[in-house]
Amino acid sequence: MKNMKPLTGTEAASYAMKQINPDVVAAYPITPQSDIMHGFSQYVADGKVDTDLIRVESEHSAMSACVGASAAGARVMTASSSQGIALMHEIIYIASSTRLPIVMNVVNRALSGPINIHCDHSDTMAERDSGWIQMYCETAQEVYDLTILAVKLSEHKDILLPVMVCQDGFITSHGVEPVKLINEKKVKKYVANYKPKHSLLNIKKPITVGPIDFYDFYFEHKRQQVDAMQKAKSIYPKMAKEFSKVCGKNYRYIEPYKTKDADHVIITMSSTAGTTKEVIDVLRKKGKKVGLLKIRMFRPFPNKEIVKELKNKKTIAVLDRAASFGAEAPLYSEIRSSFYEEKNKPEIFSYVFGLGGREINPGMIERVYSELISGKAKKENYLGVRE
Amino acid sequence: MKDIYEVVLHGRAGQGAKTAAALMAHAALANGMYMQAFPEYGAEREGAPMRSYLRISKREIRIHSGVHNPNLSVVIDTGLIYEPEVRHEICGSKEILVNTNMSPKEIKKELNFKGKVYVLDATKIALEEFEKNITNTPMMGAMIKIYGKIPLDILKKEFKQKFERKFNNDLMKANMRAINRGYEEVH
Amino acid sequence: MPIGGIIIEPGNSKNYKTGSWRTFRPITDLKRCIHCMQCWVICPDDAIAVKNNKRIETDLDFCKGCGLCAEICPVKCIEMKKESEFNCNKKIKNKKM
Repeated sequence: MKNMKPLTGTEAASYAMKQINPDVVAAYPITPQSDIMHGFSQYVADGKVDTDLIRVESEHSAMSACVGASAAGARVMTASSSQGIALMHEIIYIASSTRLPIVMNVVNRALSGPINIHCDHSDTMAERDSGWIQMYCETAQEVYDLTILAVKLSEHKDILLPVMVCQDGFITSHGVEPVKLINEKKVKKYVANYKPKHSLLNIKKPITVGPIDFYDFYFEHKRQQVDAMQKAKSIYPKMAKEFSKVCGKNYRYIEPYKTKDADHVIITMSSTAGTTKEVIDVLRKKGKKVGLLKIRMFRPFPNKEIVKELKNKKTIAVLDRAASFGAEAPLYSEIRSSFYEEKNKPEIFSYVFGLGGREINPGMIERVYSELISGKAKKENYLGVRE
Repeated sequence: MKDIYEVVLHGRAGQGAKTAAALMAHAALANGMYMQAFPEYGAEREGAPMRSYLRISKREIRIHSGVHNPNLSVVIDTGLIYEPEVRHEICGSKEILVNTNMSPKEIKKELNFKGKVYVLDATKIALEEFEKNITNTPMMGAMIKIYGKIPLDILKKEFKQKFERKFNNDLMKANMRAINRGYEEVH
Repeated sequence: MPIGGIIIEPGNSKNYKTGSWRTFRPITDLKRCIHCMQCWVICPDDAIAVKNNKRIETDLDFCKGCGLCAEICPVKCIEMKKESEFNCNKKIKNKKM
């Protein structure tokens, strides 16, 4: 309990930002992200950071300002949720295709309509093709640690891609939990200074950013983005290991929990993973061989690692906190695809849950396991909805 | 989960139920315990009924869903005991603490509740100490007394740390008096 | 359930009674009231009932006890009294939203 502070997910994010001390932060408030900016702007007002805080008139402007600042050579961070992410959508693509290492804390909130302020993953799932690296945090501790790691990850010279660090709205963002903090000097030493290869403010080597790119070169630029994502996947494990010397934990892209001898496994992301671990412990005492594979990194997608971990399992239930209308749920789709080449693959089931903040409790998770065990699970399920 | 002490606070947005749970969590951590506190809102504006949850344990708390059938239900806004949903929820708990000027016997009868009932006239204390019906401060004093495993001084210290920038001397003293009174007057 | 989240019952916010939120209740002395209607204008909840161009009793199903009516009354015929002085057992039933 030493060095542990009681922090909400948003406080953890803003404290990490404070220790990182970015050059520029441009943001616009939206529930449930606003508290990140409230906290960070207090640090700015108190002179605890040197950050240029730009209060803009919308999220579209926020990301635009971030793109401009990052292209100029600044270390840039921001935060948003739901409609804010949707509003900045076109600029999100520009940030990644211009290869700018922006770090954005996303507090996951359902996309309207109808209007909903509570948690689900529809906002970031809508950006899964945007070219941003996406990491999902289970607890305030992960938000804190991964925000710091994200800075280093995005700025790696072979990656240079922006990163979304996601946390569940209200559940993690507004929940107070114990968070172990890293000494500020260590954080600053770890993130070091951002030294961009190209930047608008480098007048000795002037560049143009964001030009027209027709059919003769656009495709090659996109191919570079594909490569960058693949490099992110191959470089990440080493980075996570190095970071574990700073924070004390190795944040692998997946986190298995009692999967070794499990027959039936749930795959999910974010805070629901925590609740699932509690259910597993209860069921294990009753002799049920169940486990969990938590996905921490969703983009790039660690398909090979997932298959390696789970290929001999009997069944897998993929719990998605988002739906893809007209197609399979996002995480489910990725998982099925990952196992396609395997000769003996587990039976994989889809459970969409928690849309718009609908509660996911231990009882419901137990039901998923019992359906898997009894063989009575249906292919596609909507957990917790009144049909 | 028997090794986790769970509390549900029922209030209206703007009354401080979320802050009360958060401060109790701060006190628990300062006392060397694992904790978790988070709110659950209905409509996003002042006055709408809401709940906040609190969990305290000797081990890491990993569950992230709401609390049902808690060890203690706390009702910060007296009128909420007449809301059918709230009523149903609080009757599922082991013990109840209500902000009211009614007696424990009357509340027990009103709710047809079999467990232990504690009451505190937090509204009276709040109106006397700071002329506002923000009852979370005295209610926190009462909660600490009922839980019994965290010293009152730790809660007061956490409160001072959190609010010393916001409150002037007089208001801080008034809050300290309110916490003390909550602790002493709960019955 | 209607699709797209549309509400097909017009004006149904009337069913969501907010009177239980009160800490203080306005008591109006209608004999001294001059029916200037300033309280009606200022009430944020439209809780001042009017009949035949004269105000009648406050609608307690919706009055949240903000006290603006008492504040603005030019003849001070409205007094804010503690809600707990009245019969607390009056149950206000809400329709589920």
